[in-house]
Amino acid sequence: MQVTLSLDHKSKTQLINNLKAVLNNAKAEAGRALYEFAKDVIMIESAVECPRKTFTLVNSGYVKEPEHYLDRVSVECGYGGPEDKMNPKTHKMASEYMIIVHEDLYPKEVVHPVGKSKFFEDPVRRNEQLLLEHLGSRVRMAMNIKPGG
Amino acid sequence: MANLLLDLANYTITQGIGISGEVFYNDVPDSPNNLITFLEYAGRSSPISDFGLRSVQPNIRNESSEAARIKAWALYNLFHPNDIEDSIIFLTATRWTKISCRNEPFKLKEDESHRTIYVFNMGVLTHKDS
Repeated sequence: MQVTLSLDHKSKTQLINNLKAVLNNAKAEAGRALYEFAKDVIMIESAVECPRKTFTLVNSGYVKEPEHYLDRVSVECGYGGPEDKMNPKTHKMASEYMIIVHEDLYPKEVVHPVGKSKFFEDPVRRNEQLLLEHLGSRVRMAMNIKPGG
Repeated sequence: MANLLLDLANYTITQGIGISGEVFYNDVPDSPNNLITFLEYAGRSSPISDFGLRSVQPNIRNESSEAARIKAWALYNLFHPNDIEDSIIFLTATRWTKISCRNEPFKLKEDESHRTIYVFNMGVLTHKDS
């Protein structure tokens, strides 16, 4: 008793195209998931922790649209990039002083009436595991894979 | 009593990067002018084990900008030896660590007394303090 399984050229092409479509869907969904996570989790938590005397720095927060590459998709978020703002008191751009505000763990001259140093790094590190779970769940849904599958 | 920052400070002295009286932790005293101090920010502990990933920022302050830069790189190289990415460093006989430097040393600022401060950040995987 025997069985012969074969894949003709047309079926093979269709299979490859279907797999490519699944991969593209997964990448697109991963991009959307990353963007939403950056906007709704990282930047929200970061804004709460960001020092805001004049609100210049917190208002310079940004999230860029997903960028798709051959082997990955990425989303950039941060402060002082395309949304850079000028501090009305010091006339300095947020990008000029954000590193000091972020990295100075023991500020003597800079008083933070609200907020703290590491206002961006802390939320990123704190949410690493949540991001993995969120991303995994969204990509599984896009690929129609049931939990545990 | 084990204290990671104290262990890092003592290790820095025993390795000849800092000298006693000029190495601190959890504080940035106004004097001496030239010092190394270890500060900590939010890390992550494991709920199921005795290990944690701590976040430590060495601060290197010096009246000379160039001296601060050189000392900062010496410290960075101490904790980030070339070609040994996964090295285990024993700070004491009982304190093991796996240290990954998160960035290279950079000049943070000049303070009000014109002293230059260099910093870098490290993730330190180690067991919990007792």
